[in-house]
Amino acid sequence: MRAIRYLVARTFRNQIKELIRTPSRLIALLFIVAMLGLVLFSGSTEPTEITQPLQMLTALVTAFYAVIFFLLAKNGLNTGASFYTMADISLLFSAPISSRTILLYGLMRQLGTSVLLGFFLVFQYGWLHNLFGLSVGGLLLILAGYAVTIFCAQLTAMLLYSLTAFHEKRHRAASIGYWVLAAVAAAVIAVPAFLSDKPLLEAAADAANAPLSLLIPFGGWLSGGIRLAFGGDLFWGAAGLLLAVLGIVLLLVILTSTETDFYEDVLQATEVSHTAITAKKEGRAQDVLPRKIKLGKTGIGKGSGAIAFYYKHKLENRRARILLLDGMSLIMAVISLIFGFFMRDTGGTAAAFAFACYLQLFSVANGRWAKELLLPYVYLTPQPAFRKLVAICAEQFRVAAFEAVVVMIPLGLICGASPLETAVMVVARFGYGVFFIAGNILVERLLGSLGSKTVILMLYFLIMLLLATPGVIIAFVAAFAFGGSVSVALLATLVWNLLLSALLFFLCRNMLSYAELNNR
Amino acid sequence: MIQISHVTKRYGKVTANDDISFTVGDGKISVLLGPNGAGKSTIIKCITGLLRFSGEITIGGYPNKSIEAKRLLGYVPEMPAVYDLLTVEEHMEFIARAYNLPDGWQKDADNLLARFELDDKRQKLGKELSKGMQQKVSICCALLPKPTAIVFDEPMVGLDPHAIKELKEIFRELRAGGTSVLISTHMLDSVEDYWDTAHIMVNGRFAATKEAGDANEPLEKLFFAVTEGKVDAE
Repeated sequence: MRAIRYLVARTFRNQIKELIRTPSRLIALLFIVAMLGLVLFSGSTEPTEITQPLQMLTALVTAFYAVIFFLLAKNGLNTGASFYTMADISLLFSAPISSRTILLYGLMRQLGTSVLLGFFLVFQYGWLHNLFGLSVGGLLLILAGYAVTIFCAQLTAMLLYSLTAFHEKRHRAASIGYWVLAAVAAAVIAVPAFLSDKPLLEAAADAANAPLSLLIPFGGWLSGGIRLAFGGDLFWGAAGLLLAVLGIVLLLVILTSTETDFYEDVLQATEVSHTAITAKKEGRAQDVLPRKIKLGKTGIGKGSGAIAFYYKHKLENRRARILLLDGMSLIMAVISLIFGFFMRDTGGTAAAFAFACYLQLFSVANGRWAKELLLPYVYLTPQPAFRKLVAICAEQFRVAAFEAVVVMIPLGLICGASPLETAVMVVARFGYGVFFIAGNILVERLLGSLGSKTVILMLYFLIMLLLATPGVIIAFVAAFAFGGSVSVALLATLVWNLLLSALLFFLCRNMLSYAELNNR
Repeated sequence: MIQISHVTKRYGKVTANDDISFTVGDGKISVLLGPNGAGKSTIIKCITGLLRFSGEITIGGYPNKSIEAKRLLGYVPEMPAVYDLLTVEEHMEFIARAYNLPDGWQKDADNLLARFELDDKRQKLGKELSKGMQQKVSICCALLPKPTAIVFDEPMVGLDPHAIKELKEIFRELRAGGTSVLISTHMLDSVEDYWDTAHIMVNGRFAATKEAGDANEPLEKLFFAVTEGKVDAE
């Protein structure tokens, strides 16, 4: 135990020292703290108009916790989960320390990580406060529930892996059990929602708040606790909390009492997360790949010179089971639609469009073009640099076009836009897609060789904001000149974004000749 | 021919390469030796056009970042460079397409895959390969376009004895075929038999350069004498 205490204390001390020694990290931390303060302060005013009942929020929380739980717990059927680093494995596991102490250390670390992971929720305070009248205390409660959900999901994944990884029958049974539970969770909300006479979303929210939601492990249980705190039904809320506590105790009891040797079980998951963490630290976007990749038809088949990269990307996407949109883009698309639904009465088309474009900022950097920059081939290929640049981005243009159609047509329907307005939304969104690709390339060109990825991310947002601002101003002016037409405003942003993107591509045309690979 | 003239590379205040000049002639094998952090990989990345630098580097007379130079140059990086989602065979196809190789490349690819015992791994994805196999794929990718100048950065790391033997044989064939070969390595005995010029780097500079004909002692002895400060440079 002394060794663990020493490790924890020293790690913490060195992290603080590192923070003081590295100004960029300190600035990033202060920036995050300042942003947090700003978000909480700006949201602490009285909400302008609470348009949604609190019940809608608790329904969202149930769905959110449930999705997080099921997604993370599923790792137990693949690579497992791990609370450890590679250093823990090589130094702690082989040390004369009891495995239970090491397990406890891992669990505590995981809990800490889970809380940190939840901090992104704080940045959602503004709109949650305005829409639902959520208080800071309420937000912290949701954050705590989120951290516990992640903790339980990791624990479940680790247990699932321990008990099933090397037993084909058990693995099959656990897989069936997992999918049955997931289907029950979905049915608990979907069936009553479709049977009800109320509007679909309202009925789904009712179902997510109903006692039956206790059938959703951890998601339904923990959100029961949240409902209880928000003044919901005392009995069912308390029952949910009780189930959550019992669930955690049960998981811990099984984990500590079974004969399973968890060292072996966490090894693979640790290696996987080590690779992912290293990749992230080095600014490399990693593919989230299915466990079993189907080769399908082999061969690139088409393209020569720079265009070979485009066809290679198509093949890679097929193998990664990304048909047209990747997982991140799909999630962003769904969030955009949910936001659009809530904002349709207050903000209308313009607000829904702006939010959808804001989310797009996060998904563009994941494109295959960014991965291409980290291997030498794109630099070594004897082709003009600009042609290579366009070729490695070609797949991303296709995604931007598809995403525009997939997100904007339903959003147009939700917001009650006319077909013409919807068509304008689609092309304007495509314009933003192209602009974000060009902006990403610019940031990579200017800042790609910087050491701190946090600083890059901060500057990325700042640069994109600065570049997009003139377009927004032009849009306002154009809308003003044409009697407040949203379509005219969106077309104005389209023109600005396409012109600006062309300029950015032109300025970065030699990027693949001169970019520093910089030992990443 | 690979020609490096007065190349300096700085990372902020740290000078990784300080005014380096040397030439790898046609049909010659030069080896770069030196302790960790001596600047070997940096000069190699400068040669391959992956890093900015001051000075001049030409490949076959062309500036190293020109398309003509890229067509002539092959590079085997220190860390194996493979695409997770392409099969071994598709790596070959991709290189053939990207480099616009003429018909007949399939025969060369088959030959390379057979020599590195990757024949039965053709349908394996990059991510499914061990590190050593990934290194073999990396080497095959670099050799397929038949470069006239080729740079190897620690090529032996992770290779099995058969692949090391095969690679040594390939070094000899490349030399016989008139290719300029530059190899950076820590494994002194792996290059003992066939080097023409050895450059020993310390702190970003050449601490010693020896021609094979002039050296009357094994490379290893020379290396330790230079890096442990027992002889003067040159």
